[in-house]
Amino acid sequence: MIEIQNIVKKFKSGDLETTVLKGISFSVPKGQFLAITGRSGSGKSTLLYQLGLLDHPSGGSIIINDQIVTDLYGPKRLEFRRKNLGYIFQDYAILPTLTAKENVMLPMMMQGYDKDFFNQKAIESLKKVGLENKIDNFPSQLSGGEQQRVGIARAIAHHPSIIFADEPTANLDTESSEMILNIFIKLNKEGQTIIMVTHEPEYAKLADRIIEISDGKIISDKLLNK
Amino acid sequence: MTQQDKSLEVGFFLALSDIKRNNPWTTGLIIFVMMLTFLNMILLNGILIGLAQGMSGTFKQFYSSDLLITPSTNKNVIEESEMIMATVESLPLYQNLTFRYTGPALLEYGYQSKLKQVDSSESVNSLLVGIDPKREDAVTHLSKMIVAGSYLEQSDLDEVMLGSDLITKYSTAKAVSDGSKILKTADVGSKLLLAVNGIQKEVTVKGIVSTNNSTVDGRIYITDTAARQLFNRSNLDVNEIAVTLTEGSFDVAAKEYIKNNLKQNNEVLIQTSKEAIPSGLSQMIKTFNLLGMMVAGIALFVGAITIFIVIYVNAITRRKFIGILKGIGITSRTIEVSYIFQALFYAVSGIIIASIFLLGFLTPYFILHPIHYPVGSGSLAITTNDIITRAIILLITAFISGFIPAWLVTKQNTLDAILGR
Repeated sequence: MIEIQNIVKKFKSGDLETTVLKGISFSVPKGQFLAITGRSGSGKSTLLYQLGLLDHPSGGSIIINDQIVTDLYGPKRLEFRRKNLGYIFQDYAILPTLTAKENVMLPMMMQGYDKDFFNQKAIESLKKVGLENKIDNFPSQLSGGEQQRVGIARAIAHHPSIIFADEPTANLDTESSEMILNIFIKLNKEGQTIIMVTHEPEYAKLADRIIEISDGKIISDKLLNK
Repeated sequence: MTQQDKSLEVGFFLALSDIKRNNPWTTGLIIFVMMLTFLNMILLNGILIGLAQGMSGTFKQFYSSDLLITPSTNKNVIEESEMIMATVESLPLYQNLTFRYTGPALLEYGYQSKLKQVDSSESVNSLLVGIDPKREDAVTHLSKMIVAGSYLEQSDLDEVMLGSDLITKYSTAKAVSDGSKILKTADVGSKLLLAVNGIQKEVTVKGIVSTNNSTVDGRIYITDTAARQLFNRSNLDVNEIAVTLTEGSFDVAAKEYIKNNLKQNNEVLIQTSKEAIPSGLSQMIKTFNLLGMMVAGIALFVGAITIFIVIYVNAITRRKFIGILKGIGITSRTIEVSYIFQALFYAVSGIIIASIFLLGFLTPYFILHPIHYPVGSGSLAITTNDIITRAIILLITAFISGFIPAWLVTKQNTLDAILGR
């Protein structure tokens, strides 16, 4: 489902060029829950940005659902991301002027769905993450864990092929973190492909597979027996 | 539905959410600034143009009327005046005319108490104008502009009517008159000595006329019969003919008609009221119009900068959220549309409030309390067209000023915006 071939990412600052990803290759089958771990600065988040089409790699290719997405640019790339991928950010990244429901339905509005349809989908998604009683609340009226659940509801509402989560529990307490991870496990059991970046080894163990990155390279790739 | 349609719909939705959930004080302040910008674009410009219109308006209303006929530069009087007046009266668009005999005169007050010829008394040199009171009133309605005493009658031979600028008590042009002679203590009923071409005659001040037009208010009026005696005119040739045409008439066409129907050797100057305006006044009107346009231009520029700063600060401080919007699949076009809608909302709100204030309060206020200047009085010259034109200009400016900052921010890398790099 996802094929990553020899991904390289370089950053240039003046004359100094830094290679953050040094030829990473792996594939992720449909329905797998993959955890990418590594120390701070190892390149795990950078890798996720390339996979989530938020950034463009300096070399290599990424194939998602048989489409070479590294060849996509501009509106086509944006449309592919909007239709096929869901992205959960470390700091929730929900919009403060929109209610929980409006935050969830916003990406679907862009896709030209019928108003009733995206309203219903937004409510369903918020129910899935246990926020059915807070659909009209603004972010300022929600806790950090609840805001992240809004972020998850937004990422899953349009039934993407893959969900990317970038350190989704980094800013949360243990209770909220466990709640988020349980949602991921539940979604994965329903067949959702999830790729999650985390620096917490205990949380990574909840996934089907762990890829560990160090200095821009894969140093281990383990399938977990559950 | 196309992607562009979605950009409009989602952009509007985002703009509406932002406006609804913004701090109401901030929104109110921005709208207030927009209102001031629009007022600034229209108000001072309206006052200056109103003043210019007031100057030319009083000149036309109280002096020249639609057409003014005067002798050509090498003549003292309009020769064959009767024939010319008959031609004017044959004009299909003709309504009324008045003729005037003019000549220099000296008016003296307190002359009875002078012991010697060299002793000073109150005196003023001015133009003596002989009028047919009824005809003059039909054209210039001077009887309605009497501020003291009463208007002349045809039977008045020893009475004069003075323009208000000749007497200190009634003069609105005191500053202009400083240094020149003016009758300081004379008033209605005062006996004055009128001297014309060496002929002296005692006259009584019957009334004071004040029009806020310096030409009219600086003259001495007497009946045509008395003037003809003083000027020793043996024929009926006059110095000025002012013609009123029927309402809505085209003055240039009327002027051409008169010209074409005069004899070849008639040396007269036929001018429309616009052409007859003295060059100094005309220059002043042009300057006011120019200043008005400049002020409006500067106000527009300031307004554009204001909207730009407001939208730019809004966009810059929300760079991260713009990044998020792009990250979740919202197009740059949608985000730009959202900021343009916001800019237009601020501009439209400001325009509506300013227009209500202008039409509901300021315009009626200036009609009731016109601004008086020595050269005329002016009110606020604002037409619906002016408001619409300036509103369109402000909206275009708001559109551009809303688009540019949003475009600058949305063209940044999505990830850099999200991560605040």
